[in-house]
Amino acid sequence: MPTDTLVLIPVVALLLGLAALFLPPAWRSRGALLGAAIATIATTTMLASNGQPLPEAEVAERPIAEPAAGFVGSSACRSCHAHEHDTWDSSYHQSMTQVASPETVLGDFNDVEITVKGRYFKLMREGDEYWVELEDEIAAGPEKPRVRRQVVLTTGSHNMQVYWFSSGYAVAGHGRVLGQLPLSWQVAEERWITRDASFVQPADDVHHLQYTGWNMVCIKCHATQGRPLLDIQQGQVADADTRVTDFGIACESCHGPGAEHVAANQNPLRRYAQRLSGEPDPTIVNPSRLDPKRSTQVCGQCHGVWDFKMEDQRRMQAWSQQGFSYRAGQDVEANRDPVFTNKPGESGFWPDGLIRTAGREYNALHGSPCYEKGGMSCLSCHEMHPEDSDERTREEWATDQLRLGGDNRSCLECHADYAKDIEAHTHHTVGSSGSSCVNCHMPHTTYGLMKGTRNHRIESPSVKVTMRTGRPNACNMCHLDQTLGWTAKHLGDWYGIKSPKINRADERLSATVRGILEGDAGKRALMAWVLGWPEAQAVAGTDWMEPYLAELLVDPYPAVRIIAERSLRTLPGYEAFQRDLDGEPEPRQQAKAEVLTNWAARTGGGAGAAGKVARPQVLMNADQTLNVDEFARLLKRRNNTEVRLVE
Amino acid sequence: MSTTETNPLDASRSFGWWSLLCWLSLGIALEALHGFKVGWYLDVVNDGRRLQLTLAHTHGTLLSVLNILLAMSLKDLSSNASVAKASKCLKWAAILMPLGFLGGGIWALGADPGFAIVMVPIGGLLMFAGVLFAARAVSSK
Repeated sequence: MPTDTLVLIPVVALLLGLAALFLPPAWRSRGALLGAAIATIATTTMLASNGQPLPEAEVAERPIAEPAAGFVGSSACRSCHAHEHDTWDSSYHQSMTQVASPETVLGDFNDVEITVKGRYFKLMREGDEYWVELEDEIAAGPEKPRVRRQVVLTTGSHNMQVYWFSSGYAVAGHGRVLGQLPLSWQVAEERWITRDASFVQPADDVHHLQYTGWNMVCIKCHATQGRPLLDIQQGQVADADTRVTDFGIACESCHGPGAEHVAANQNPLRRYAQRLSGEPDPTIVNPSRLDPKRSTQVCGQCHGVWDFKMEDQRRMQAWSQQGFSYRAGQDVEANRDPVFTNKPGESGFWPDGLIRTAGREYNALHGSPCYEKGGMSCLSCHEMHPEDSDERTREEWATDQLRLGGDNRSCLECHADYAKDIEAHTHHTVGSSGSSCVNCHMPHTTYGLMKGTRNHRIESPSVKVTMRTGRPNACNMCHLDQTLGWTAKHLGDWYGIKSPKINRADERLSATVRGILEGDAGKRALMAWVLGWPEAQAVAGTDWMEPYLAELLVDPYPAVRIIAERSLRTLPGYEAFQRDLDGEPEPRQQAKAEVLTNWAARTGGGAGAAGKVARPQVLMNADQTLNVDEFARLLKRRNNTEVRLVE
Repeated sequence: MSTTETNPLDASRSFGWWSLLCWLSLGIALEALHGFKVGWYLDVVNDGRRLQLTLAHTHGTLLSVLNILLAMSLKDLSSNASVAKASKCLKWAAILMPLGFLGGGIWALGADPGFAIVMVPIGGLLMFAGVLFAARAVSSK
């Protein structure tokens, strides 16, 4: 009930109380009592409803949550599936998209003023509302007035959070088109960076506020059964009446629409009969009961790169009105095709068709023997609803939602033979990073969220593949100071893998050094991250890393610079190192000089290096100075092909 | 057979106090489960069990009090046939309803109570009948 209507109730109660004065004496006390009762109830109701958000259906200026036909929304699941609802609620799937509120907004909106590529933004908080002052890019005419827009939705809550504001589009009277704030709040560092800097893309990529981005792109996977409901006029999105079943990735994304299930199970006799039968409930999908490929497709509907064939206007229109037709349990490839190659100007795939960006694991699993032939599914390693007896905290589980704590047990469930003597297979001490199945077969060669993430094409280390595709191999992702030749020799000695012909540079120089100095921006981002990976640092040492991280601080790509800064903070003496690497060039040049000065001071600048030996593979001379000539020569050979890894 | 033995209200009073002791003890046990943070009772996955056990405690206690109240308030009408019926109905209601919730909670089937829950509606009907008989007895005074 609207608050202004509620105000009438105590007024009526007061009038009733006054009217009681005119009643016969015998009825006066009863009348007064009735008036007092009504007043008490009304006041309590008003206090309870004061400050409550508007009912969702009454919200204008942003997409709203309204279950699609056949769907019920996650709140309907809780009463029967409390544990499943609770574990989902602890996950980052749940908080992928949230309505902006003091409980959900992580960024600093306390009158923060930021200029992004010449555009000035002011971020403000007013009570429980968040606002941005910006130039109205979509205003008609050459003059772009400054306007205030309310921040209404957030995306992400784990690594970073980005924000969406009400755009002011309301051509058809809906007004649910959102604009994106060109900033990204880095959760761990508690600082703003530009949204562009959070992706590997050239610094001079022209920035524009992404209007309709949420309504047309994010809605596909960051919400449950979203319907864009676009108003297309003259080929352009003029307005939208966008609705979703749930903000975030909720129950029905993975279990299919729940209306039939809820209706059927309102009958208690059916519930008990269902339990006694021991059979799965046919009114709902449980991915863990699907065959491995269908089960994987449930995750793959979002964790994949797809050609949705939207150039067909009828498909586009159907999607806009009803959302995707795919339902959990169906064949996801029946109506869309997985993508394995780059379109012109894109760089999301390695030359052998393996996906290069994170969050697209379905494409990586294709071509993986464990998935293609071995019956592996996402649920072989991941779990969505951990038991309360799980030793990990919910936060620890939520980081990657791994089953069995993510250790070797997941692999050994199928590859049981190796369990008898792990060391005989790995040639690494049990418990070391080299005896972890995933470190060798799923190295961090995929990029996303400003870090290396695990490659989901389960494969064995191969120097041949590294030389053919440029993709780092697992051995050199830990042995950062070793060469490809060294890796080829060990793979030959231990596993009988024939070494390809190794060129002189790969015999002489660390694969990591070559990646940092000669690699493309995507590879440099991975190398910048791996220099800060504790497991690699433990193997390769860190005393040679500073000059390389210093160089990465002035990389042409902002994302690479910021990742390098994070890795630098893992080195002794740099714990609090934080510079502006996303703006003007001068601060980052100063940062580089500062690191090199520190390093020279620490190593004695060539003096006091008694007992040390030269390490030519990382360009270290015996006196612990850097082979600057070779360093500069390699840097000149840097692969400057434009790279765009936009997850 | 002595008069004391045949007086249904004496039986209700005696039953009520012993039953109250029993179901209050369950309350103490539930508090202990809270105190020691026992997952079998407190985990979110056992939400349904917690509800059933709480309902067992509440219904057992209140129905025990209702039996005592019956004995105290209708002692002048102990020879009335309706009073005897009310006494029996309320006694069985005080047995079946809380036991139904208790069994339903101990052997809970996920979010649904276990099969013992079937005792609850029977107990509910007996409670309704018991109160009805008590009301008739008072009206016929």
